[in-house]
Amino acid sequence: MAQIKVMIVEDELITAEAIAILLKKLNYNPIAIVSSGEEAISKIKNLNLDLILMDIILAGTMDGIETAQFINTNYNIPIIFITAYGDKKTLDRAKLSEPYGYIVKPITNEDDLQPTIELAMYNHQVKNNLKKGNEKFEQIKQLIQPDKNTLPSQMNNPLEKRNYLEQANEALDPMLKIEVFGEQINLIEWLRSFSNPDRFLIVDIMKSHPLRLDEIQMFIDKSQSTSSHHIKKLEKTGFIKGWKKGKYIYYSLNKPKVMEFVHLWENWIKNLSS
Amino acid sequence: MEELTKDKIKTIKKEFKNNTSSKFLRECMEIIGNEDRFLILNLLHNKPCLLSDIEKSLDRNQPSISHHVRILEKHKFIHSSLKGKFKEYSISREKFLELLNIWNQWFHIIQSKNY
Repeated sequence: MAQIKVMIVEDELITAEAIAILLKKLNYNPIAIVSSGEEAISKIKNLNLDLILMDIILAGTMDGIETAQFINTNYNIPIIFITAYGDKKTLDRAKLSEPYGYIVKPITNEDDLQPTIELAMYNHQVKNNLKKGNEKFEQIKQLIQPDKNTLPSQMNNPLEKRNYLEQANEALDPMLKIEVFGEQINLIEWLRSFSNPDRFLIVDIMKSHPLRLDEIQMFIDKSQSTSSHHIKKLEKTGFIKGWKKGKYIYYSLNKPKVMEFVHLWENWIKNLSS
Repeated sequence: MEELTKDKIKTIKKEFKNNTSSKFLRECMEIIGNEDRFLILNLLHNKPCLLSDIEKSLDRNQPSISHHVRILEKHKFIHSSLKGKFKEYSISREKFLELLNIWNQWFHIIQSKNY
């Protein structure tokens, strides 16, 4: 990972240098040291920063809290306050600018910095992801049903729901897809692979015996091409897997995938039976 | 791993083909595994519907919907009652309870095995 670029806004140069040394030890990159809020704001554009450490008392006319508020409105950079003031009034004011952390001076070793910085970077990442997710969701909502605000779970029309889910599925990244929208689509697809009685029979028998292609053929009384078509279909959905033994390929159930199906399917039946 | 002889295959085949639960599940899968029928069941689960409601919701023509509804009714997944001149269809919960029971037995065999 690239080094995290940090700006230190601090009016006492010695303190700032000391913090810079500690940051370097922690493998961060203290890219700039400035002494006033105005200076910080003027430099921020060109530096592509990942984090700002901000003193509350600064050299210029703006204090750290005002500077932080300005930066928050205009940029998306996490800010941690460093200050000698631990009093409640200052803290309350500082809170208004939604800082990612608060470190009380004196800062003498790495341990004073590291936990707060790491937590701040993590929280910032989470917040960004959430924001991205929300934006994407809004986008999809707009794309699919510009006039309505219905959630998939509130849709009574199954076709509408399916179209929504399918479009959402395409638009979303794979992570969200599985967690939020994946369920029903998978179930239809999986059910389809069981909809052929021969295929269900194959799976049924495979519960107790691994089978070769020629054995499958005998079980279902169909041609070799039909049998291998069924095998391909089941393999594609992941319900069975093939393995070599001697010169033969045997097929057996792929338990994790089957269990995944079982879970969805069972929930669906339960739902309809209650 | 035990070797499957021709005779053994014959016996197993007979066993499975005649096994009532296996047969029942095969049939259920065949019927529910059709996307339109799956969607009809989901729709009726939300609320009982007339044939025309189903047509509208699924955006399919009447013959195709009637065909699917007939199959579902024949196999007792849904039942109908008269509402004025029209038939209103709803889910048969008993059928799904039965399915759930049989499915659970089937699934326990998988659960208990290591593949």
